[in-house]
Amino acid sequence: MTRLIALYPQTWRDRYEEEFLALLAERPPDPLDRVDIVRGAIDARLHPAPLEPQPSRVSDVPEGRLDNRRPGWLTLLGIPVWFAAVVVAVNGPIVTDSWGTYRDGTAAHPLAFIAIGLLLVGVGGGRRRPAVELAGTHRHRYRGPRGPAVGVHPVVLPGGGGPVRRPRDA
Amino acid sequence: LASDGGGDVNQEMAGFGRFAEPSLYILLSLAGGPKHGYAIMTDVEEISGVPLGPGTLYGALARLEQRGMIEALEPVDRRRPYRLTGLGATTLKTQLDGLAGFARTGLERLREAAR
Repeated sequence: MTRLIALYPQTWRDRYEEEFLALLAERPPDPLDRVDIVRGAIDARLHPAPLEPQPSRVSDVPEGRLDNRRPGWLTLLGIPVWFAAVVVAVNGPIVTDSWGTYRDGTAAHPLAFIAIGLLLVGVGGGRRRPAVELAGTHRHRYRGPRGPAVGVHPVVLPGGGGPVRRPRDA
Repeated sequence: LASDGGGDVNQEMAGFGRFAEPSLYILLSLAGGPKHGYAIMTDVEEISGVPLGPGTLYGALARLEQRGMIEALEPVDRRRPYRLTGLGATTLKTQLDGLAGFARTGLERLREAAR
């Protein structure tokens, strides 16, 4: 059950975890309840609510919280690195061997792995990052770039795709 | 109350998405007095005949609390009771008035069709 609750954002857990666990102790969840909990966790991540007293100014935000935006910036850095990897991959040499004729994009692999690492840092950091808001602006959340928000990235590894066959006479 | 800002209240509830109906049940449940999560769940199940999942319950509670329609009280043995606020009572009354009008219209039309 703890694993299911771990799906919820930290701010939600800080506010509701104790009573939520008390509720589940009184009424152990059946499989449908477990699905409902997962849906609730997805919703809590998609629509985070301001659940704690808000700092009145940016300077009132504890330093550690601002630091939590760094993973988001690293994720943003991962995006141009990823595109650089794609550029390297699509400009790789044409190779002909027993597999046929294809463009060799393996030179892009180091960049691609760095990009994936940067993207994952943001996603992981986003999971731990509590919500930070400016006072009186509950509808305008002050959060900085966030891992999951920019974590949608191409799933095809540059240079790792199938061979691009060309006519032998080309 | 229904005419004063009723549209705003309806808009507010419409913003609850899939939590609108559970939220209305929760408001109805809390109209009978403060309750903690498990008590709300069992009460809603009695009212609606449909079980309320824990994820849905807390999704709705968070929205209601965020919009000031309910407020949390001091926890008792890890269980935190919630109670209806003035805004929550107004919202509930507006919604129930709307449903009453809906039911009245439907019943009248059925009676007319039966003649």
